Amino acid sequence: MAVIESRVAPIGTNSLPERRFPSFRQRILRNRPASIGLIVLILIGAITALTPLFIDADRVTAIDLTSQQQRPSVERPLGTDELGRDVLVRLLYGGRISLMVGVGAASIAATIGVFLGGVSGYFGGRVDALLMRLTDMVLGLPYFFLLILFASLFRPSVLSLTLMIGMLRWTTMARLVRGEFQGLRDRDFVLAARATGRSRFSIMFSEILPNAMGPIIVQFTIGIAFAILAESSISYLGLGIRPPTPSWGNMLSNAQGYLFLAPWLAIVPGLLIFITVLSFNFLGDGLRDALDPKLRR
Amino acid sequence: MSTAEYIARRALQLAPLLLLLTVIVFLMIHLAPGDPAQNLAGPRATDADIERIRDAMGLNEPIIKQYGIWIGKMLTGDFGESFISHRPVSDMIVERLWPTALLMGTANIVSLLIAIPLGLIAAVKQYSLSDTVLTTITFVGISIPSFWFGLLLMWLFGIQLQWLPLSGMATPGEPATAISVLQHLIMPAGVIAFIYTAFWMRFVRSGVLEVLTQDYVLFARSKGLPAKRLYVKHVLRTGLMPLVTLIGLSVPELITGSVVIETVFSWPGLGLLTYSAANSRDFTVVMALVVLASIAVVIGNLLADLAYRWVDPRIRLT
Repeated sequence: MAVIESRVAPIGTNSLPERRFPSFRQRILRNRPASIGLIVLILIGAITALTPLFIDADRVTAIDLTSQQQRPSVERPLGTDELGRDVLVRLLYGGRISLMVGVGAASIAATIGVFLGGVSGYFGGRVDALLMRLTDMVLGLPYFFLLILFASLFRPSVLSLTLMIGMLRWTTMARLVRGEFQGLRDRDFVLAARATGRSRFSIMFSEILPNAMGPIIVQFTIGIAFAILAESSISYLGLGIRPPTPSWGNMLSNAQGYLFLAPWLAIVPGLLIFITVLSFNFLGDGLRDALDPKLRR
Repeated sequence: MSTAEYIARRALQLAPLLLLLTVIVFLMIHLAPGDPAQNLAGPRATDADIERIRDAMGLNEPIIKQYGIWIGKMLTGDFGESFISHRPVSDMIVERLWPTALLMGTANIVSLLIAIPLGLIAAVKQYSLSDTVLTTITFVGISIPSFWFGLLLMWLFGIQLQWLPLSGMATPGEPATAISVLQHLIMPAGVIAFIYTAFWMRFVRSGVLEVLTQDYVLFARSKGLPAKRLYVKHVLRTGLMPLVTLIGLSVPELITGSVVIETVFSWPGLGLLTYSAANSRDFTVVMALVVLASIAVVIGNLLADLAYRWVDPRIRLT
């Protein structure tokens, strides 16, 4: 691991103690919740991604009315739900969907936000004012309710749901990126690039953007956490991913009716949502601390 | 400019937003698949019947005219009738206002009462054990799915321990006393309060931390100002500023924020109405609620603006 050593010693004095500036990797791993979160996420991601290789997709909807609501057993490690479907299988496949929607929505929000924020921050002036007006207007819409309206009207597919949730959050990213770009646009390397006559868009996206990636990644990570919560909430309300397609959210709404008989049906999917979102939040926070130029410790 | 002028100016700025919103809602309804007249008429209606209903509902008029009629009616408080129950929507909304207000109001007040002192402690004792514990609780609070938390509490306190009633605002067959309402209120309000506390505690903590690094705090300390007076009177006032703005922005959630929890606990408020209306495709109700929600957002933004200017003496409306 690379560690930058630096001796701060005026000429003529004896040796001062070495100062060690920890590398980025060190700072991330030093943050325990963040590293645990990272490991958890890699595990969950890998398991859900590889699931179709090991478990047939048919088993997700395989109704078996003779074995309803069985307690966990060797064959069915997490028991069965009210229609006899294997909970573990649905959990894994549901995880794929929930994660896909979460990451997808956050990506959409990030893309729109980076683009609009970047343009706004770099060009400034009237473009900025206009885009900020637009952002304000968008912020003024009661998004969750619009989402509900949209979902009840159009019965969204996974794709359109991802799109809608993505549209919920681009404003935070846009504000952030705008601030970053405003700070960076007057720096030397930008002036140099302009002096050599590079096109403005080229400057924005190959010079300035890489330097702003830090906060963007942090916001993206936290955005995933938010998107997963949003999707599961909407699915719980019956307005998002609809059964029989499993999603961690709609598994919970199914389970509510059976809280007396089969409480594990409710505990497990929610626990997974909780762990995943928590891990993303820890990771995002850890990234933010690690990127903070003001070394506090 | 005076407060009144400022409010008027902002309201004017926000009016086109409301208009835009009504247009969006209206377009969405009209672009949706399915014909409301047909739904109303049922599967065995003849074409003539459907046409008749369409005429009666005004669906054959040009779109702009339909939009105008809708807006006009709303301005006079007529939000139409529910497709399902045929009751006036405004009646349905009004009777649900109090339960939601009670729920969200209680949750908000409780959260504030807890978040402010705890956030203050977390900031003052930064990196100590208390801070770590509180920060962990914060993370839990912002990551936990509210409906799952609600179900867990329901299972624990309602089924296993049987200390609290499971759902609704009152138990059928029992008189609805203040105590019984309170019993029903604890779990839903508790869930909301926990999550809000987590969010707000963060803001209090970071706001206060910012203040604590200022020179004037060190100066006051070295002057011999007792810690308690310093923290409560001076630090808190400035440190709470970000929170005040956040609270202003959460005003709309007094109406919109309870959808999920009300659904979990069958609490008879606006949120539950939203859920049932959305699922049964009762569009008049959903439209009215969306419009209501946007008005709430506009008012909330306005309040946040005003509150910020009021709290920060540097920006007093001069």
